[in-house]
This record gives sequence, C-alpha cells and structure tokens, in this order.
Amino acid sequence: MVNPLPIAITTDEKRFLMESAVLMRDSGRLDQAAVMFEAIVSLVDDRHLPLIGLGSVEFERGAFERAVERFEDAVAFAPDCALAHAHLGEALAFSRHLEEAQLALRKATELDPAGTAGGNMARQIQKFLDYGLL
Amino acid sequence: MSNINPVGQNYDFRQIQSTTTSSHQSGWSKFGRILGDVAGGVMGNVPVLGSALSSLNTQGDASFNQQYELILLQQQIQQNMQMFSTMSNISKSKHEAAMTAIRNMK
Repeated sequence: MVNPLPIAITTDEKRFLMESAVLMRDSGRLDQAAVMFEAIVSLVDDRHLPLIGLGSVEFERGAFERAVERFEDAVAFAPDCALAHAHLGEALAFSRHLEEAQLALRKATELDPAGTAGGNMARQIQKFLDYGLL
Repeated sequence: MSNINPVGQNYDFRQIQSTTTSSHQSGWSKFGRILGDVAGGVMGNVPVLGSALSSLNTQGDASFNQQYELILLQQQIQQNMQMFSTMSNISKSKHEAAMTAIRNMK
C-alpha cells in the first residue's frame, strides 16, 4: 500500500498511534479504532500489526469471517509473525473452522516457543479448544 | 432441592463475566454468555434429574440424591471457574503479545 499522505512519522509516534488504537478498541470505540488502524496501515512498515488490529476490531464486533480475512492479510504480509497466526487461529475457531484453527495455533507456537510474541496466546486458546467447547 | 440453586447462582458465569468485561460484545464475551446459558441449563436440570432418580429409587433415599446433586453442582462450578481462568489467561497473553509487538515496531 502506498502512503497517500506526505507524512513521515518517528518510531515513537508509530507506537503511540498503535497503542492509542488498541486503547480505542479495548474501550469499545470500535469504529474509531478501525479508522485509526486503517490510517496506520499506510504509515508504517510493519503493516501486519495494524492489520491484526483491524482483524481484532472485526473479532470484537463478532464478525469472525471478516476477522479471518484481515488476519489472513496479516499472515500473508508477515508469514513468520506468531501473533498473526495466533489471532488467525482464534478467529478460525470462532468461525467453526476448527481444523484450520488448530493448524494456525500450532504454527504460532512453533514460531514463538518462548511465548511472549503470540505463542502463549496460541497455547491458551489451544487449551480452550481442548475443552471441546468452541 | 430449593436450597441448591441459590448456591449455583452465586457462581453463575454470566455474573462473573458482567463484572469483568466491558459493555461491548466480543467473541469471548458472547461465548461467556453462551457458556453461562449452558451452565444455567444444567443447573436448571439438576432438580429434574433429582426427581427422576427419586422415582427410580423406591426406597426414597433422599440424602443420597441430595449428595449426588451436590457433586454435579460442584463439578459444574469447578468447570466454570476453570473456563473463566483460561479466558482470563487468554486476554492477558493477548494483551502482552500485542504490547510486545508494538514495542518492537521500527
């Protein structure tokens, strides 16, 4: 995606924007969060992160299929990002694609054995799937 | 029998959810509500199960039935607490992973 605005921002500003968008999402202001994540996609090199954010907004809305599409975009952009695979696995599980969900979660744990970058999240969701309730 | 259900309601998953999540409906909060409904259904069925057992037991061993129902209830409560704990861990690990990713942005 080409940056439509002639704006260069610092790394700290990128982080600030991302954290603000995450806060918007977590406080339930989903429309504003989506607008922010959309804008950040065109401003940063790590585009998979705002794409994950957009997916998480759709997930919060309960639009799991649309969330899957966003997370797949993130995985396509950064195939080695455990966080993207973990989110994809979660959204797939909620949209009842359980086998694909298992694969995505397994991939996340393989990519992040230490767990801090999405591996733990994948393991916890896996545990939930093991209850057979999703 | 009637003294069992209030105990169950103290641990109703919906109540735990409503005190720990915000007003918007995420996938997990929706799931929590569904889980709460399932738990409620099971709680509601405990007396029915008890009645069936009582009619089978012509001796009318009421204390055995009561103990059995309490065990069922305890299992349900334990399962709900375990689910809640897992969901809480998912939220925590999700947030930590997101913050780590943001901190590592270049």
